Amino acid sequence: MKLIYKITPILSALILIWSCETPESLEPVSGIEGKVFIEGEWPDSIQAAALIVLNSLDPNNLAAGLVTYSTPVLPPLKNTEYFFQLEPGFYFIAGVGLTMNPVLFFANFDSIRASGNFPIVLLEKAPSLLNIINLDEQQIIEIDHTIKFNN
Amino acid sequence: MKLRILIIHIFIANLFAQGSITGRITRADSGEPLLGVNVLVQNTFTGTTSNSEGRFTIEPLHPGEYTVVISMIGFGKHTEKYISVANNEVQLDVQLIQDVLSAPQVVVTASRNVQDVMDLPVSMSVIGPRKIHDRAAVNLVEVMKFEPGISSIRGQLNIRGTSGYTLGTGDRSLLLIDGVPVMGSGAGNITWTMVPLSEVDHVEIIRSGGSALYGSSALGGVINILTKNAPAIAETRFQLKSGMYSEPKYKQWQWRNQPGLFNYLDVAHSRPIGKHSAWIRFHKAKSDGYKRQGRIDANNITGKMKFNFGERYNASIFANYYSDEASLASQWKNAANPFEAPTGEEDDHTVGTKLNLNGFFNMIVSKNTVIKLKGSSYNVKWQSYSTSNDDFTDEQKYYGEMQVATTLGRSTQITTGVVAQKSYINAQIYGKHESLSTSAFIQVQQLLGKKLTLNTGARMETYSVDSKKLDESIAPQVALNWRLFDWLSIRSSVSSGFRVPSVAEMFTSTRLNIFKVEPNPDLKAESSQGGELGLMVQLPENRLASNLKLDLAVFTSTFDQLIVISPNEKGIIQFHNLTDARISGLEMGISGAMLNQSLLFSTSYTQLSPTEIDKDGNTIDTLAYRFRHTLVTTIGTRFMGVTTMLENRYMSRIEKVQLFQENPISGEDKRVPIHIWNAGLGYDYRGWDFLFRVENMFQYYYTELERNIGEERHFSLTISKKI
Repeated sequence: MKLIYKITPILSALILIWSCETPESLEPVSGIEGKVFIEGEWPDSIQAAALIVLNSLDPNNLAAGLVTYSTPVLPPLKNTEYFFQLEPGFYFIAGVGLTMNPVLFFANFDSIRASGNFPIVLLEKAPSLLNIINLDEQQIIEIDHTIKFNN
Repeated sequence: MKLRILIIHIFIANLFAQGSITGRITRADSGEPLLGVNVLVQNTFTGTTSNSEGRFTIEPLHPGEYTVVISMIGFGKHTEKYISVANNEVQLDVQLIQDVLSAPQVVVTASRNVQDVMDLPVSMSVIGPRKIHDRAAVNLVEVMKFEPGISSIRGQLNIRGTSGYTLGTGDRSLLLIDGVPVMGSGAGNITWTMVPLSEVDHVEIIRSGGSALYGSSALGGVINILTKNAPAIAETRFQLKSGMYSEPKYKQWQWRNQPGLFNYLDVAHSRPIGKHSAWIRFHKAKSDGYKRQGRIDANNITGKMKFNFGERYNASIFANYYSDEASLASQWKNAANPFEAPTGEEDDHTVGTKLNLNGFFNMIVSKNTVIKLKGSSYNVKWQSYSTSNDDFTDEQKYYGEMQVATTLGRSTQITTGVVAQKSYINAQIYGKHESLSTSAFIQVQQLLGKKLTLNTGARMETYSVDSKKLDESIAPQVALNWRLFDWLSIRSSVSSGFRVPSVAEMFTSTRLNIFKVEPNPDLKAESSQGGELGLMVQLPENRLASNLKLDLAVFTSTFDQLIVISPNEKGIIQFHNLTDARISGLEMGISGAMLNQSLLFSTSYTQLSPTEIDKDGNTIDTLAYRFRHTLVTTIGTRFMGVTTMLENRYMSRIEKVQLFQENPISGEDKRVPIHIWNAGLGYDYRGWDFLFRVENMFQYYYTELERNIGEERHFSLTISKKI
C-alpha cells in the first residue's frame, strides 16, 4: 500500500510533464479572398457558378489540377464573398458554371473527381486564367472576380 | 418442555428485539451542531441525516455488531466500528473535523437510494462544491470535463463518447436537478447555463448508462445535480467574477479594438423559517465573448423551499427562471478570420426564457417503506433573429413520478415506481407536435453476505408522438459490488439502454448552407447493450497522504440503430439510424493530497475506441466527433490560506467529422489535438475569498467542431464572501 502512496503523485507529475510535448496549435493561414460579381442573365444550362483553384492548368482536364472550390453562387444572386485557404505556392483561379444540381455535385464530389468527368464549363477568359498567383506563407491576397454571362 | 418453551421464548424475544443508535454530531473546532450529516449503517439499507441540533436516531436495528459511517461535505469521514446493539439504545456522539478537500461520500443516483460511494455497482463521478469553487466555474461543463470519461463538443456533453455532436439535439446524457429531468422536450437538449452552480451541494454523474433507472436519454449516463438545503443559520453569499479575454496572439486574427469583458454576479440568501428552510439566488451573466458570435446577457433567479412536517413528512419546491439574449453562432467567417462572423450574420441572435418548477413530497409510511412523489414543469420560449432564417420554439413539458422504496428483512430493498411525461412543442423548423411517454421501473438491491451487493432492475417505457405509438422498450440491468475491504471495492454491471428520437431529430426541416435538412419521421429508437468492470480504492489517511482515491474501469457498449446526422448522396442532410456501432475503452482517475494536505493532485485518463461496425462486428469506420484519448491533470498547493492550481487538458485530434473534411492539398479544415493549460492563484483573507485564474494561458488554438475556434485565453478575478 505504501507503494501506491508513493507512485500516485509521481505518476501525476510525470503525466503533467508528458503533457508538455510540443503543441500543434492552429496558426494564421495563407489564401485568396475577394468578391465574385455576376454580370448578365444566368443561362438556363448553368445551375450555379463557383470559383475553382488549380495548381496546374489543362483546360481539357481541369480535374487534374483542382485544389479546391468555393461555395456555389445560385441564381439569381449577383455577388458574394469567397475565401480559399491554400498552402503557399503557385495557383490559377477561374470561374466555372455547374451544369448539374450543385447540391448533388458537392455531395458526390469525390466520386465525380475520381471519374475526371466534371460537369462544369469554364466561364473565365484565357487572359484571366494565365494570371498566376504566387502565395507566400501566411499571406492573404485579395482578388475580385467578375463572371460575365454573354446572353 | 420448560426448556423448549424457554428456547422458543428467547428465540422470539431475539426475533422481535430491536435496538437503536442515537447521538449528536458537532464540529470539532467550535462544538456547533451540524445539520444534514449523513449517517449510514454499513452493510444495511439503514441511514439517516442529522437535524438542526445535530441529533440523529437510527432505528430499528436488530441485535448485532454494526459499523456506522458518518460523513458530510467539508468534513472528514468518521467511521465507528464494533458498535454492539442489543435491545437497547446506543449513544454515539461524534465530532467531525473540518476537511475542505473531502468529497461527497454518500450518493443517491445510482440506485435511487442513499449509498456509500464504495458500495456503488456502477461507475460514478461525484463533484463537490470545492471543485466548482476552485475553478470559479459558471458552467458545470467546465468542471465535469476534468472527470474521467467526460468531454464536450461545443457544450454538448459526452459521457464515454456516446453523444458525439448532433447539432445540440438528442443528448444521450440525462440532466436531473434534485432527481427530476430538466431537458428540452423538442430537441432533447440541456441548457447548462441555467444550473444554479453556487447553490449546488454536489453533482453525481453515472458514467455507465442509466436507462434501467431513468429511461430514454439516460443511454449514455445521468447527471444529477443535488441542490443545497438551507443551513441552520441564516446566511448571505455573494460572488463576483470579472475578467477579460486576450487579443488573439496573431495580428492577422485580431478583430476588435477593445478587449472583450465578462462579468458574472451571484447573490444568494438562505435561512431557516420555523421548521422549514429556504434559499433564493440571483445570477447575472454578461459577456462580450471571445469571438464575434460569443456575446451573452443572461439573468437567472432560482429558489428552493424545503418543508419539514415532522419526522414522517417532508417536501420541497424548486423554481428556476432563466432569460437570455445571446449571439447565434454557426461557424467562423473563414480560416483567415476565425474570430469573426460570416458577413451578414454578425448580429444574428436569440432571445429566450426558460421556467422550471419542480417539487417532491416524501412520506415515511412505515419503518420500512417510503413513498416519494415528484412533479415538474419545464417551459421554453425561444426566438432567433437571423439574416437567413428567423425561428421560434415554444415548448412545455410536464413530468410526474411516484416511487415506493421498501426494505424487506435485513438484506433486500425494493424500489419501484411509475413515471409519465407529456410534452407540447411548436417550432418553426419542426412544426407542431406532442409526445407522451409512460414508464414503470423496479430496482432490487440485495446484500449477499457482508461483502456483496447485487442490484437488479428494469424499466419499461412506451413513447408516442402525435398520438402514434413510436416505441416500447425494456431496459434491464444487473450490477454487482464486491467490497473486498473497507478501502477496496470491485464492481461490474451489464445493462441495456434505449433512447427514442427527439422531435427535432424526426421533424427538423431547414436549410444549412446550400444543403437541405429534411425530416425523417421514420427514425427508429436506438438501443444499446453494455457492460463494465471497475475498481475503486479509497486509502485510509496516513502520514504520507490523505483522500487518496483510485478509480479504474473498462467498458464496452454496442449500439443498435444509433442515430447520427450526415449528408447523403443526394446532398440532403438527415438524422438517420446507423446499423451498428460499438464504443469500448478504459478510464482511470487518481486523486489525493500529500504533505498534510498542502500538495494536491488529480489525474484522469480516458481511452475510447468508437467504431461503426457491420453485422459481423467488423469495423467499418470511426464514429464522428469522438476523442480517442483524453488526459486531464491538476496539481495544486494549499498553504497559509494561499492556494495555487495548475491544470492541463489534452484531447487527441478528432479523427472524423461529418461536414467539412480536411483537405490535405489546400490545408483547409485542419484538425489538431487540444492542449490547454490553466492556472489559478487564490487567497482567503478574513472570510473573503480571492481567486485569480487564467484559462488557456498559452493561447492554444484549436477547433472542437469544424470551423469553430476554441476559447481564447482569458483572465478572471473572483471575489466571494459569506456573511
